[in-house]
Amino acid sequence: MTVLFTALGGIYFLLVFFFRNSISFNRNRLSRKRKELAPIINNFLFHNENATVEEQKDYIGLKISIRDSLKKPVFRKILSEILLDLQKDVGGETKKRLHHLYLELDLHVDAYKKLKSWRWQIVSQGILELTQMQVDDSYGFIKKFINDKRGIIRKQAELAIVSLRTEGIDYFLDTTRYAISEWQQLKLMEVLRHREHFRPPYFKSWLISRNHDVVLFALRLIKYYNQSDAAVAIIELVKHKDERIRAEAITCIKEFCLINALHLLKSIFWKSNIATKIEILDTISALGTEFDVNFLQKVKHKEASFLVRNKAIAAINAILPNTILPVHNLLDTTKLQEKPTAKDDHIDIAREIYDIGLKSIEVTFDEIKEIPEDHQKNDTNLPIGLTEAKLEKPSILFEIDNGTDFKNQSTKGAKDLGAKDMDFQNIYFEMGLTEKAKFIETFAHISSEEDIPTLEHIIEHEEDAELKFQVFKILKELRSETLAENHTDKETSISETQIDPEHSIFHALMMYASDIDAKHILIKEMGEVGDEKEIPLLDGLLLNNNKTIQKLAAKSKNQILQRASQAKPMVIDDENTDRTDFRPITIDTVTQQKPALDEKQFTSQVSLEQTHSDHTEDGTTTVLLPLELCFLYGELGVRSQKQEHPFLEIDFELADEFYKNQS
Amino acid sequence: MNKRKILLAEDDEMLGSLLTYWLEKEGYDVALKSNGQEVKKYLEIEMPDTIISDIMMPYLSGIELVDFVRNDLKSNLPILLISAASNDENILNAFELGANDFLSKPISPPELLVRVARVMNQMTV
Repeated sequence: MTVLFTALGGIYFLLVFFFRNSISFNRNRLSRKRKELAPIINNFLFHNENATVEEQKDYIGLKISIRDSLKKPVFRKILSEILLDLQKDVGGETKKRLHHLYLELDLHVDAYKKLKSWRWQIVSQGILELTQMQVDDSYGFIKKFINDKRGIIRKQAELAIVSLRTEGIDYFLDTTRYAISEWQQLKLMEVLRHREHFRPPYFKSWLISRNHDVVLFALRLIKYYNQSDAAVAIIELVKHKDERIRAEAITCIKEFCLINALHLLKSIFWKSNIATKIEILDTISALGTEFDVNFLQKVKHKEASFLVRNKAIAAINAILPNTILPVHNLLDTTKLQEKPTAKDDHIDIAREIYDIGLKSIEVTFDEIKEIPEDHQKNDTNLPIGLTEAKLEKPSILFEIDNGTDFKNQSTKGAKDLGAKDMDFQNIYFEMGLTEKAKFIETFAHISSEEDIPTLEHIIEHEEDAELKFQVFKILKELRSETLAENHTDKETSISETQIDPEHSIFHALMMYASDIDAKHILIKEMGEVGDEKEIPLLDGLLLNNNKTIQKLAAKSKNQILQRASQAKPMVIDDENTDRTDFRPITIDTVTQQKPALDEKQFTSQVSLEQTHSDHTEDGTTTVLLPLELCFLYGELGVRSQKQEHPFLEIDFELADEFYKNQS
Repeated sequence: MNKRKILLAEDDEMLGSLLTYWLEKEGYDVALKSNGQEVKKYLEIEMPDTIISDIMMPYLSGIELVDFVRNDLKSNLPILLISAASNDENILNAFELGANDFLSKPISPPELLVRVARVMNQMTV
């Protein structure tokens, strides 16, 4: 056994020695041949027909000698290798000359022979040589390998035909039946990129191919060559069953800014995988408008994947910057806030005024002086205005110094109106007319749904019709906003689940509205002629940064809802209805409290409203009564007698004008 | 008139020969060396007007050659580097060490000639 293993070891070392030497010998021989052939090749490459006679003689001598050498296959092989190596290192005109020399020496014939080999590596090598040396005539031979079952040959052939002729890419995309790997696609694109004077065909023709990889590759080429004429086909491909194609089509949509595809993207969103969903959200964030925010909000709430939710949030912020801000793990700044000192109270007060939106009130020194003395004496209850004494001593203006703001004091619900709220209401009713007007103007900016009871209280007790009307307008807006919030947040309303903003005929018009005025007109028109289909769109507009648009949207939405409620009257169950829900003011709610107008006037209103009344089960009459009319009629002394009087058609704008003139 | 000397460091015989042919045709005196050791030996004996070197060379890379010329020989003779791999880091490194120009393969001989002439003129100025 020892002898056997020693013998085997010896044979092994001998074989290693033999092969090592053989490789080394071949390398040295090649090196020597290279050195020998280098000047010959240089002469061939840079031979000039205008050269001197001596140079011409040398050239002819070289040609004769090399022709003899070319009869030896080994020499041909070495020469081929040298030329193939060299063509990688040189460019420009030298490379072209090299290709020409390769053909001139008939070395391409050897490459053709390789194509007939049964061994895949030889065939592949033959294709590679012909491609590298740009043998144009080999195109016809190589294209037969496009659908070869041997993968390496097929891939080499694909690169070859794309590289050799311009129409190669057309032939390849037309005929290939096999998958095209991602790497192969990159290599093919690289070949196309380096082709000189390449005019890309219209790749949209291959978007209808049955080979999914061809479609995918065509999409990538369309994107690369910016062939936006394929827009329609690209949008159609968003519906493709293959996720890869769908994802690629979405990236094309983003690339070409095909905003009309957004609706389709949203419709396929819920059936897509996470990668595609992220791609869709990415596209919406790039192309979307405020009308798409509703959809993104829905994704944010309903989507299970954290990645997708995050992307939706990013998209919302991309469309409407700073809409969603960090809320978790933040320090409680109210605790960190330093208590104001007596020294800088006046600064804090000014800042507080600014914060709560009272900056619109211009309090001049003269006005301060005009404040009645009895107000100045009452330190804690001074409503508006700062005396010099107040600047020195805190505890003014709704007890700001006590750490409670005006809003919190004044906006508790009617059910739990506390002592402070009552104080506030007392303060209000102690104000002069001008102060009240300023107060209401400010209140319009800062009020929230919690202020509704306070506003109702003011309406009840305010004697001045103009102020009452102003307060009523605020109340009405608050109610419409509350209703809008309920539509978006609480119930699964029609607007969210069944109707998209795009269903509104105004959607497209809004998208292409050139300026803000056009948008205003459109929103007003929605209120005039729109129906429930416009509500999701208006909901979207309620989130708009522009306050005018928000207000107009709220107004229009209210108009639509009013129309809808008139068509199908709402029955309100007071016990079961949340206070924050929208409910129209009824004669019950008004008459149960102290009416601002006398009972006779109300009776006349009720007679007008009979057609819009509804009877509940317990027999009480629930009558819809627009309060504007109460105020208007009360102020004007007008009493409508006939039921057929079209009071709903009264233009309330006239009332505004009237009050302006009066003031 | 003395011919300007160029040291060409290129390990590929064929490319070296081709470039030598072109440069000589243009009127330069070219010394072709195929590895770093030969280059070092040559530089110890003689100083060329310009060095053209491949970055990827046995025994001594083009970047090491720049370092050797600038720091060991304390010479500011123009150095032009050529390489197949246009690795940004390599190129930046070479320029930081004091290379004058860089050319990536495939090389167009006319372009090489223009660049060589330019770096030589810069040094003369």
